Amino acid sequence: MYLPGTILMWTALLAGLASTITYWLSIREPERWRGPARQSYVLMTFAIVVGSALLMYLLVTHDYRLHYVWAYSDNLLPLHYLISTFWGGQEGSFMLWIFWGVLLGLPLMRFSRAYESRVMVVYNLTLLSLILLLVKQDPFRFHQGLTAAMTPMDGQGLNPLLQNPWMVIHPPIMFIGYASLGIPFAFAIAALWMKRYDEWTKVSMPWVLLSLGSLGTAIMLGGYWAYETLGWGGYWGWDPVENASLVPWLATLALTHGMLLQRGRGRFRRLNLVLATAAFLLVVYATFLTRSGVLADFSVHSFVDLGITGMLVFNMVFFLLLSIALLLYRWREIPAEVGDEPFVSRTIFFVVGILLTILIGVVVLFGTSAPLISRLWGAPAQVGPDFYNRMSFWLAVVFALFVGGTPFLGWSRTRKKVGRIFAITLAITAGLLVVAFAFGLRGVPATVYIAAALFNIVANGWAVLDYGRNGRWRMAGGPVAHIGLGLLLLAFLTTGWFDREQKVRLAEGEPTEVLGYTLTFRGVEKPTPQARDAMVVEVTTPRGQNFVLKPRMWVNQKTNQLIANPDIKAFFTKDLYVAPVEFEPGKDAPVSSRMVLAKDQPTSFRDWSLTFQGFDLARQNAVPGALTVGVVIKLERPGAAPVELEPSMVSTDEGVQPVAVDIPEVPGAKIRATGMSVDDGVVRVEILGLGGGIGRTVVMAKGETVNYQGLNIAFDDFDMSDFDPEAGKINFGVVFNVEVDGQTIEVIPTYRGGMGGEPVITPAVVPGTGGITLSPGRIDAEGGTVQLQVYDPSLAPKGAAPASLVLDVSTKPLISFVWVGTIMVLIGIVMAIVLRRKDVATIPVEG
Amino acid sequence: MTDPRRQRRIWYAVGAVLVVAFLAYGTTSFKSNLTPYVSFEEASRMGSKVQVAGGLVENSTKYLDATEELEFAMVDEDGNTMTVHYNGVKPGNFEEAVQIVAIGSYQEGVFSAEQLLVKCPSKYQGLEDDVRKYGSET
Repeated sequence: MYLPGTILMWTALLAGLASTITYWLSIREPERWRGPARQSYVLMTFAIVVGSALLMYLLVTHDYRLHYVWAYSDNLLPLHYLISTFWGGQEGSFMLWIFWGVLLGLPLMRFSRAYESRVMVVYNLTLLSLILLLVKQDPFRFHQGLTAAMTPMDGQGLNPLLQNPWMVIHPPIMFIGYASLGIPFAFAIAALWMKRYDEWTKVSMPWVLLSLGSLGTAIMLGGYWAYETLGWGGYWGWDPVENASLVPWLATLALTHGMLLQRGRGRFRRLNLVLATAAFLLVVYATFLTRSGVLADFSVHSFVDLGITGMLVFNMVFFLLLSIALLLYRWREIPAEVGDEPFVSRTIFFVVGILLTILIGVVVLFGTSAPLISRLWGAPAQVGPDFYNRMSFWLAVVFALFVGGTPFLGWSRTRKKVGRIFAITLAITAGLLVVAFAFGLRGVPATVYIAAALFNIVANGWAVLDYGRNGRWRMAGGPVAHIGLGLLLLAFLTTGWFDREQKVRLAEGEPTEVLGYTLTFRGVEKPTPQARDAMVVEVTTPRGQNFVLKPRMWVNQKTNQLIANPDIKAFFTKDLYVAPVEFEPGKDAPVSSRMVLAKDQPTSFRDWSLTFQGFDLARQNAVPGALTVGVVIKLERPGAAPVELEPSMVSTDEGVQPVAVDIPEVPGAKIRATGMSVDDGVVRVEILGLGGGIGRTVVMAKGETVNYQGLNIAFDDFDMSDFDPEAGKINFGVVFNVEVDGQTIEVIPTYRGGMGGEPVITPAVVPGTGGITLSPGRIDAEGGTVQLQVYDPSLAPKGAAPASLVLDVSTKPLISFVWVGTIMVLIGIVMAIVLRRKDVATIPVEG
Repeated sequence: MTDPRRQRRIWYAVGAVLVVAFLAYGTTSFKSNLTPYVSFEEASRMGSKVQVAGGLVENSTKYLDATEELEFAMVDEDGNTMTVHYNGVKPGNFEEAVQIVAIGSYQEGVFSAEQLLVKCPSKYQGLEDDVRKYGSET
């Protein structure tokens, strides 16, 4: 083990123990023990902060002696991802949790007023339970049995899916939420302990709101990451790990409102104590579910049991029993609510809202625990997203109606003179519903749901204005958050029910219409050798707007995983979402000709003439990290202006890649340079993808005629005028009479053989046919026959296929409301924190 | 009706009925939504929604243009193979998966998956293997 780190962990553990004990003593004698207790807490904080800094330092400096550093980071990671490897693994994420936990404890000590000693005893215990995990599963341990010389040179690297900016900030925010939930728990236990059942809600309100805000932010960031990175098109998949953070959030949400009710009406004392303990216990339970491996077969976030399951269960049972025992012990003496409230009052609406929140939480909790519950009567099984959606749908409708109704109500009666406002709200809702119909809203359940969500938005919009008109903007946190909730509910339905999705195969360069958009795949872009391959897709919207999307599909070199990332174009009313499904590299056209070109010496190919004019080093840095050499070739063709083509060769560490260029006016044809010799001034080039091939092969005797594509070709005779074996000249021509446009033309391919060297056959082009060429194959001079090969350039090239990309294209109506809605919820929470923080000072201090 | 106690009792009763109804609804949809783990053979017999686990048969993955589906073959521990169709985006790390969990039902000779869970040769897994190989100091 890395001694300084391990010593720090032990220091933290012992200092935490000391703080717990001295705080216990300070319950009786605060004057005497509070000082030492605070000091040992600060020492624990110091040890954890230094320990975290040390782990970060070891990660950033690539100290691969440490198992943790080796397992989660590597040499290639840029600094920001290197920092995020801190919480890339189990031990580090616990470390982060503890880090926030001890830091939050500092202001907690200062602001916990009369509850300080007891709160800190309990809070210290929650921290110690986490520190113990890390003393057992030490993040500072070395690889065992490796000598210094055997220290790995590089690490395993970070999961490429986590190499995303959102994943850098998601865990730290999530763990602020986790850590801060320990605080209301500590207050609830302390309240039961001291029998002071009312003040704790005021002191812990800012902390509860902090949990609510940070967990909410983290959940949204996680959803946004999934939407932007994973490519299945959604932001929420009801995965156990997602649910594990949602359930504590719902409990915290219920607690927030319960505490408001207790503050306003003196109700819900018992329920709030239950909720505050439940929120914390749910976090512990969630940790157990996701870290112990019990869900390994049911979640994509597969965590393997690291051997801490026993301790996690112990922690859970310990805090559960503590809470239940204390609650039962005090239950009867907690003052219950008195007096009745009419049903149509803010109080009852709050109660219903809180109960609905709890119900949704229970549904999600049961669904997530299905693999554990179903074990009771059979094989473990899980429930699919369908369960959650079905269960939450009508709950959400009722929920939205109650949240929307609250602004019109006072604590115990309907507010005065709101009848007219209520009618206007209903009218606006109906108007918006008509707009929704115009945009394609159909179906009774969807209509009811949308109506409820719209009513909620309009009603709370009025509430915000009402606060503002009375100059009490700062009290509008609740309604602002509730508008956000309404937007979220709207978006849940539109993105879930009214999204349109289609898969399509795009051949390179071929525009294809999908969902009204015209998509053209333009090939793979890889500007640097390290870059992730981007699929360039040009998009034209139905309105004629043009843009380029670049979904990525790349292979992570380290793990050899194929990773696909979607790309998104956000419009005001919807997102266009393209996720790559499959990429098939094109097959190169077959090589039509290979030739070696010497500098400035024209070489003929068919009726073309190619001249190598020299190398071009002007663009040698065109590809970063590689050397690009251009090869300038002049191409002259009959009936066309000469052109200069510049295929190039890109030399990288992995070898030389030829980059072909198109030959103008010949579709599909390319030329590329495959080799060069600078000293000799020669290049080797290949012409690809020219159509054409042997259209007909036939053995003919003199006087015979064949018909190829309406062309009559007659074998007339051999031309022996230059035939002189004595002189070593075995040269002759083969005379064909070809009828073109009613005229008979003599076409004479020639054969030149003799001593030394290969015989040379020069095919002859039939004029006026676009390049049909006659070529003699085997020749039997004695028998007077010749094998005629008719070469036809118009034949389609064989084997060439353009690259193709299969895309999953979808539109997500109103998905921006998910992000806007969450942000409004967060703004509302922040407004509430600002409003409620002053309550803390009204509680007397201890002693 | 103006008697507040009576009114309260009515509301309690209504609330209780609603809660019970909801719980009943919840239990049934919980049970009907459970997807048990079964073998390939059981899956083909049952035809209802289940989940199966197995390895990917190498090079069996192809994209079917006609039905816009991904097709691949899975092999279980006993060596049985089964063709799976999936109408979704191929999950990350699909080819390298040590195990694939497919959730869906068996219809007309193929398993139609609604959801795929891919267990990567995850770093967690790899880590464990290495720990076993080298040992690790704790």
